[in-house]
Amino acid sequence: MEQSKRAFICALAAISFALGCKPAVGQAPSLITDYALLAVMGQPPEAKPGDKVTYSYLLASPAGTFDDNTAGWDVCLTPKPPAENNAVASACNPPTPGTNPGLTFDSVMPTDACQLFGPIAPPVQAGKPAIRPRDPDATGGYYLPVRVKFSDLETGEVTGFAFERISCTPANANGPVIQDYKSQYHANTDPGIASTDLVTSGGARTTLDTATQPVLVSPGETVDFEATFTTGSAETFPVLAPSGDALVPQTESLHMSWFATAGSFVHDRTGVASDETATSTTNSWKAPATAMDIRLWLVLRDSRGGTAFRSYALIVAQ
Amino acid sequence: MAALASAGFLVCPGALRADEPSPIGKPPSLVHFVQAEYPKDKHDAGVTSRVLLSIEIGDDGKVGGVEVLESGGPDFDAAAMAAARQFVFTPAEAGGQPIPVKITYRYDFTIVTKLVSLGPQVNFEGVILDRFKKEPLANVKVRIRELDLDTKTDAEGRFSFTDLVPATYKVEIRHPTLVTVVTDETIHPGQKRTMKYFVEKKEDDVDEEVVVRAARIKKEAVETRIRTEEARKVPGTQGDTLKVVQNLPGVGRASFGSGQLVVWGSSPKETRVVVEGVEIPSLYHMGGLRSTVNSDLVKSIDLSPGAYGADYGRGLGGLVRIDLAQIPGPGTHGYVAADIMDTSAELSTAVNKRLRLAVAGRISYLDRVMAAVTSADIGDSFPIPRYDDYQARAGLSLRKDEEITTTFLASDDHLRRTIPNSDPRDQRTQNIDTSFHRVFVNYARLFEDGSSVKVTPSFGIDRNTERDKFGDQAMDIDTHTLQYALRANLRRRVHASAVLLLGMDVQGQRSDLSRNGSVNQPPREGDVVVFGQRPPPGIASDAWKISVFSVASYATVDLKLGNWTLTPGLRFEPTWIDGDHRLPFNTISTPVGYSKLDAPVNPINVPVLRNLPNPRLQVAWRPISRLTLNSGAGVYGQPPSPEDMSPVFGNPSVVGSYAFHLTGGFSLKLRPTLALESVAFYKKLYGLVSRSENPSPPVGQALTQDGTGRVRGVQLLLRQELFKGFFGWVTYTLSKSERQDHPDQGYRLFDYDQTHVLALLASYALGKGYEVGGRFRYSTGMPRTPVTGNFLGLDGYSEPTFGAHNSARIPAFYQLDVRGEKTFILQRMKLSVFVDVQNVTNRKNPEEIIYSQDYKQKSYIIGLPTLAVAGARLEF
Repeated sequence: MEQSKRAFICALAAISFALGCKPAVGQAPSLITDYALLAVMGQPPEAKPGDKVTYSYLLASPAGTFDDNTAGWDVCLTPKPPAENNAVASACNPPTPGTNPGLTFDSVMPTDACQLFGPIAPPVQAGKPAIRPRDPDATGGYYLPVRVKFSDLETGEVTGFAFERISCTPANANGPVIQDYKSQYHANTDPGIASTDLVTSGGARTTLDTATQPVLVSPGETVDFEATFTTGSAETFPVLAPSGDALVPQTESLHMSWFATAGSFVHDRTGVASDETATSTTNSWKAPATAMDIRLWLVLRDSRGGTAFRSYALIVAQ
Repeated sequence: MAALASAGFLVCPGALRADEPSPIGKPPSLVHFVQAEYPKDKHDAGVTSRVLLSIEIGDDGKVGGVEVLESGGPDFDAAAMAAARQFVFTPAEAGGQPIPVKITYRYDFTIVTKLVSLGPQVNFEGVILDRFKKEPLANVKVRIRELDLDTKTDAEGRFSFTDLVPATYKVEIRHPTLVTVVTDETIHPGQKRTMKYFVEKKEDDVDEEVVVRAARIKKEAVETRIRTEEARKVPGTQGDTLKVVQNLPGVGRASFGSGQLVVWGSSPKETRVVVEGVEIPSLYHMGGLRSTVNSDLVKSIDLSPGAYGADYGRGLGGLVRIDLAQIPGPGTHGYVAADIMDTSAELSTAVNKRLRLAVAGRISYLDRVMAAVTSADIGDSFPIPRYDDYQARAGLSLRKDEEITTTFLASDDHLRRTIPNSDPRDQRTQNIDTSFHRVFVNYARLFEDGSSVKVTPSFGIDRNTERDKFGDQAMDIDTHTLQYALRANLRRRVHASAVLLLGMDVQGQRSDLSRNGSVNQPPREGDVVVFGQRPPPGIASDAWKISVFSVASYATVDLKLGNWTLTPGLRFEPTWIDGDHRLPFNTISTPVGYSKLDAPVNPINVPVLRNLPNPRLQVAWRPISRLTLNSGAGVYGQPPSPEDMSPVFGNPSVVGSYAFHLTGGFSLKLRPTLALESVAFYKKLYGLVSRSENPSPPVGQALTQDGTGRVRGVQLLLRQELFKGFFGWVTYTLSKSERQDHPDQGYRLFDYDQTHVLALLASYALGKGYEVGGRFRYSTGMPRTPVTGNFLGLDGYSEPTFGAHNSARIPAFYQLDVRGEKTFILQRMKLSVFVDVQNVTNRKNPEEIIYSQDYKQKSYIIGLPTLAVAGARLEF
């Protein structure tokens, strides 16, 4: 009955606008069955031109977090052309390995980052037209792409980018507004995961801790996880209005990505919108039917590019 | 049956001085009336008239002089005067004494038909005359379609039917040398219907069309014309006449749910749709579910995929021309139809012999049907557009072959959807509202010598609003356009073998636009993007105004030289473009507007020739009566799109694009109603707009205009016109359409390129009101750029890496549809019930490629499953 109802719905939907319906394809991204790059981040998450930034990554594997000294790092200085639809230019991702190997990568924010990737148009060369400044994201931010590439993993290459937020003074704004911006804006800091609780269907609550013994979960059991943010994770900051004559306060939204080496989450990602005041986020997870060790990762991002993560161990057993 | 004259009179003292007060105490009284002899030919032809006479009455009551004050035609005048001279009156009196007077007397020649119920009675008769020579036409077949009853005209062009059941019938007038006419006639109880039909002889190489009275339009070098009653029966169209365009040769299959017209490898935005010469923005409602113009108002649909004449322009692709039918009369007619998607109705009435009115409308409820039969939030996941359209027409016959018609067209579409998600960054909403309104006046006059004049002023408003949110990334686009236009043309035979068409085609558009969001959203043709891909993070904003005003003049000559027909033409289309700011707004400087004059240039590197009017030429050669070889060529221009002229999102310096079309083919009449046609075509496109490939483009140059395109192919059409209840066609198009976005890049496949497009279509009337039909379609899938890898991108989302541009394709599409219809004649009404079953084999046709979130696995969005759409239509 349910199947016929679904067929009817799809038939009706198909008459009208099939292209709007995007069915789920492939494995859930929250399930880790191969090497998976979960995060690439800079510390600090926002830097001024000339500031030092240290980049690191979180690479997961079915066996747990994986550290690879052969990871190659590159700072890309090519902005994304209007003809491309990714967040980063294809020129930033050549097939060649990264040139700076290491678990982490220390770099300096280029001094012309606000001209290359930000709101300040480069100086006009004689006889050449002015260059179009970059467009900010919804938080008013501009980002430097830094690539990390793993070329020697057993199952193939893995590539990812850190998007380091650049502290740039807004252009196309009048003087008083710029002064207000400078006085009100504070560079982004990373959000934090204060704690993660496991709540069973019977209501028993256990706080997960990497330092203690793994928590035991029954095969096939469905449990809830509740991750609580550290105070101040969702920061408030000014954004220049499109007209350039006013500042609009905006609070960061927070987004949690959930990963596990087995079992299934109800949601791959959860989050808190900028107009919400929740200080935690929850997700349900169904344990696999067979006994095994489980590795769990939580990656928290704020809307200005700040990142934090936690990793926990679970044991599925009777 | 008798011919009667009715009369009325006014009296004034005929022998008195005008400055004296009227002394008449008693007016004259008609005591002996003489019936005027109704001119036989006029009576037989059903012609009525009115004669206003001045009659002098002596003091003895006898008629003296008789004069015609207002003529009703020489023969009517003579008949009326002859009768009036035999009238006898009682004299008028003044002061008790008889006096002479002069009266004004109106003599009406009318035809009153009375039927006597004694034995078989003729209750539908008429005469068929040559339209221009007014000569009777013998041996013409007149058929009552619903009854499968026919007769032929006699030597005087007369025909008659006996004891028809009162109802509205489709009357078909057919002869191998004549343009077939199909018209509705209503037989009322106890009355005889007497008609006079003027029909035209076929022009060489012109397909039949449903025309009762209209100036003929010369066929283009390549053109397919479909009769509306055939179109309505095509499976998969759900009775919507205009949806048949999707099955015509040269038309690619649009993505399911898009309703776009891809004609000869051109972008949907490059094909123009005109209704009575007035451009409308869209032939179909959102999703392609229905056409935006009510089918019952449509007389004919013409598709010219390219190389058309000089009378149309402003488009690099094809031309869809819709002519509206004359409002039927006398009486009141209409229909009501309903199916699972919508309900529509049309009503027309003849207020009097000169004035006819029609209104029509449609409103959809598919979204509400779904909401009623499924869970409440189903509409959030499955976007169902809501649409409506409505039309009104008023036709006034000014005199013989002169008519003025006012038409109002309106269409609205709305789409609302929300895809909820546990992460606010993955929540999506989409709200789209589009509408257009057009009002135009059509003045048409056909002169006795065959010359014609047509003038069409029009005014319209287009609105498009889209508000999307992809997580925290919003996109708003608002476009409000005022459009005003004037088309006027004169067609005149200037020589025994030459017909001249002179015309002017003025169009102005004033667009107010605003946009917020990513430069890359929505995607453009040629973008390397995955369906449903998250837009890149940049947010920009702009509001701009663009005025485009073009005054096109054109001239065309139809030359018939023996077996040759040549139609050379010229079109000059200067366009004035005005914008309110060339550079993005800032808080420092004042916006500076700009103006420029542009015209489509000829693609030839000779400066003098390059800037001349654009030439068009159609040539046809008929070596034998059944075979015609034809060719066409021309240069076509298209003004820039206001959407592309934002200093932030586009480029204010873009100007019009232009194209060269070349065609060559043949048409072979295998039988009188069976023809084989083939056309090879080539198109070269210049000045196409595409996104800048420069990582750091200059200000105001997010788009560039250095793209070109080329299209070549061949199409075949084997078509059986309606014959003994059967019609159908087979069409196949082989083509390749490519684009070169920038000179330093190679050619790539056009996003809508389809190598093979095949359609087989047939419909057959089984008799007793049953009709069945089938349609089979095959088409190559559209090109897509393959995903070759992935990487972790912004905000933890995977992003794709791509292979060669458009180097893969969606798998091929094929589908079988069937249709059945039963018609019932119910007194004065006709009820049709139909079932349209699409995809009867339940083929899982891939409509689009989709990927897993990490871009490691590929799948497809599957199109329509087996779906039966049932509906009913009641005509009266």
